[in-house]
Amino acid sequence: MSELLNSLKDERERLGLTQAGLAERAGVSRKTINTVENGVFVPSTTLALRLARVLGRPVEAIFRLADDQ
Amino acid sequence: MTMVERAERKGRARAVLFYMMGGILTVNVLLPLLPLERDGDPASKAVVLGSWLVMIALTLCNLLPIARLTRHPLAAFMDDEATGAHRIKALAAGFWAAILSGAVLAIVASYRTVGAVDAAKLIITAAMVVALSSFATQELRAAR
Repeated sequence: MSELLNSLKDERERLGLTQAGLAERAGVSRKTINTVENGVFVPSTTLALRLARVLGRPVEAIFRLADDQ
Repeated sequence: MTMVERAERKGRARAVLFYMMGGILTVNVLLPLLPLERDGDPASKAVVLGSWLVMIALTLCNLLPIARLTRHPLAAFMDDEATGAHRIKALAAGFWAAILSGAVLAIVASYRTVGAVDAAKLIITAAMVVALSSFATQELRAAR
């Protein structure tokens, strides 16, 4: 199975948000944001879409498969 | 304090509590196995077993996502997706601990007598302690 990469940290920092700030807006805990950023936890489609909406970016701009590079 | 900060603080406290519960369960199941506890009368044995069962039930309630039933806004942050994933991994680890401890007990029981109650308590405790510590470790690691 392909590894899921993400640019969540870059996108978050682009908006000047902390992990806690993004978590508050997305309605999840900071540890969820932390584990997604570190690639430890693969979010559900629902959460990925919610994060993309909060960050104002299309979901494929934040999440991509490793073998797509 | 924001909802995320409150959830983070409570999450850490929950992880520490889970480690403590694991320790208490271990001590609680090992102490009665000592020879000096063997001569208790049936009534006191029933009390010990009953209190152990209550403790297991309470611990199990903590391992399950019952907080979601309260629909408290904080519950959504305390039991979100990452926590759910940690819970599933912890319960799976507990399952394997039960299998392993059961297998070890089966080997031990072929050499010396092991009471059914003691065996059940050891297997359940092994499963619970591994599940609790696995959950707590994952939660604390994720919160770094």
